[in-house]
Amino acid sequence: MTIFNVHASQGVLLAVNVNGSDVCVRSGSSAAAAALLAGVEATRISPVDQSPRAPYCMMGVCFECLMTIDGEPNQQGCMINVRAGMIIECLGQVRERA
Amino acid sequence: MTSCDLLIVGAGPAGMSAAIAASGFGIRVKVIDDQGSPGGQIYRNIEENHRRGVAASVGVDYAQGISLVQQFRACGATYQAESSVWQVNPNGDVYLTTRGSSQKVSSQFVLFATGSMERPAVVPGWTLPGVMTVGAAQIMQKTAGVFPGEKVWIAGCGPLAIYYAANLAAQGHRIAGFLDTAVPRNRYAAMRHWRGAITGADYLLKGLSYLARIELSSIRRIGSVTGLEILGDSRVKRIRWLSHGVWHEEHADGVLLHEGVVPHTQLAQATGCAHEWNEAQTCYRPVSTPMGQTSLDRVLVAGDCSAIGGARAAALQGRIAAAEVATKMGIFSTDQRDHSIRTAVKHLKRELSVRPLLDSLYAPRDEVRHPEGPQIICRCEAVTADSVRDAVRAGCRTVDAVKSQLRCGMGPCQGRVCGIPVACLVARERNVEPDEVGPYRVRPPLKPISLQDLASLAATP
Repeated sequence: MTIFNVHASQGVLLAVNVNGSDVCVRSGSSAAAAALLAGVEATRISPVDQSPRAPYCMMGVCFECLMTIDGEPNQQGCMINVRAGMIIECLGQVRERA
Repeated sequence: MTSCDLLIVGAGPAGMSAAIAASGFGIRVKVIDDQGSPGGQIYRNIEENHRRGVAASVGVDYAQGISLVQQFRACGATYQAESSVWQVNPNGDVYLTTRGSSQKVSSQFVLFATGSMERPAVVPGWTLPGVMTVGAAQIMQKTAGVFPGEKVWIAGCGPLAIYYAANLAAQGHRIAGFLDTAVPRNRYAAMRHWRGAITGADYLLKGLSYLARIELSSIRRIGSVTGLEILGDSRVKRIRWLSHGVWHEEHADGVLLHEGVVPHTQLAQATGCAHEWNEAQTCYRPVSTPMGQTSLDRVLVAGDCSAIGGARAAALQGRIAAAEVATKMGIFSTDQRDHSIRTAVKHLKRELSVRPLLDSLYAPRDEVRHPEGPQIICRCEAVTADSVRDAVRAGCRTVDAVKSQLRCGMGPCQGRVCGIPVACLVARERNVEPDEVGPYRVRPPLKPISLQDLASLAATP
């Protein structure tokens, strides 16, 4: 379950695809934010100790948010703003939002 | 290849302010921003929020930032967004990539305005999914318009954590609680900076009003927290805290950590600027003059990436650095420069006067300053604090020696996150000052770049 409440936000909503499921997020959100709001918990597994990891800083410093965006691997999801139809692939299941 | 007189890295208050002033002096300015629109982190996504009329809900100070952004857009500087600088040479050559296409820009002078980052809160379990920084939560609010859920905790201390919690309270959001790790004993040390309390009274009063707002809200603030542990397997499940000698444990859906902010010096380090330890702020800083001149003649710094001073101080420092560049270019004499920045210098002195008090009050507790134990200190390479300590005991004398041995600082973040706690830990083990053991030697490229990014450099005329 996402740590953030997805509440009705004003503004333009964009539809993106996270791990095969369509998700709507406000324009201005990053791809990493979209993954989190889709309910994904761990977005990657550390290659060093196989621990589950997820975005931590959301500003390009920690590199925990590495994900594949529109086919390009190893992108910092927090540094890329969503575009309509963006395909975001990372680890983890998209959960139904309550 | 393109050229300019002044290339500014960063479009936060320092970068924007420098660009506005420098353009006004007739200097050809290019601003490189790794984000999609100006504002840095503090004014992130402000143009969109302003358009939608929701900027004030983030905060009054935030909403006021739109005027600086508008002045920046109108000032005539070239603004290049979504661009990542990966190398700067001391002669002013700058290499950057914009959406897969790389270029080299030759600039007479370079100004780093790369801002600040959060101090890592190295507590057990801090790498679990569901643990983020308060800054990250603010970014989620500014960009995605979302807020934390009812079982999410804030754990940490400092103006940003207080500001964020107060904002949640003002908007009626409930969270599980605010575990305040400010060290009560620090108040006594902070008292010797009482002069700053007078000149910075308005800032402090604002802070007190935020604290009052938190106290009057439903947010449970628990003070004197001296220990934190985050528990979970695939994600955060529970949080433990130590207060007045007793451990408590409760359910947690998420944890927002915050232990202050520190200068983001990665670019200045990679370029070769000399750095020194700043004990007052428990961080490294680029050696620089009050005008922002670094140890490299063509390189200047302004804003939080030099020393933490906040957004208003950053804007003033940007203005001052621009005047210094104008002087170096022969546009101003030193007298003309001093006259031009007289008011800015006066205001900057006032803005910075409250800092020693804040730095002292919110100096990180020992557990955060030099972590000990089996918890991970380097997230990228999963290196524990204990193994860093053992490496020093086995003979490693500097952070770079520890890095060679354990790989901490060699992961994707290139030591941005672990640099300060590793340095403090090594210094403490050796019983020396952090100046003697660090910072990490940082080498370009500043961010991982692909061979394609490099190849596109050759293709660009």
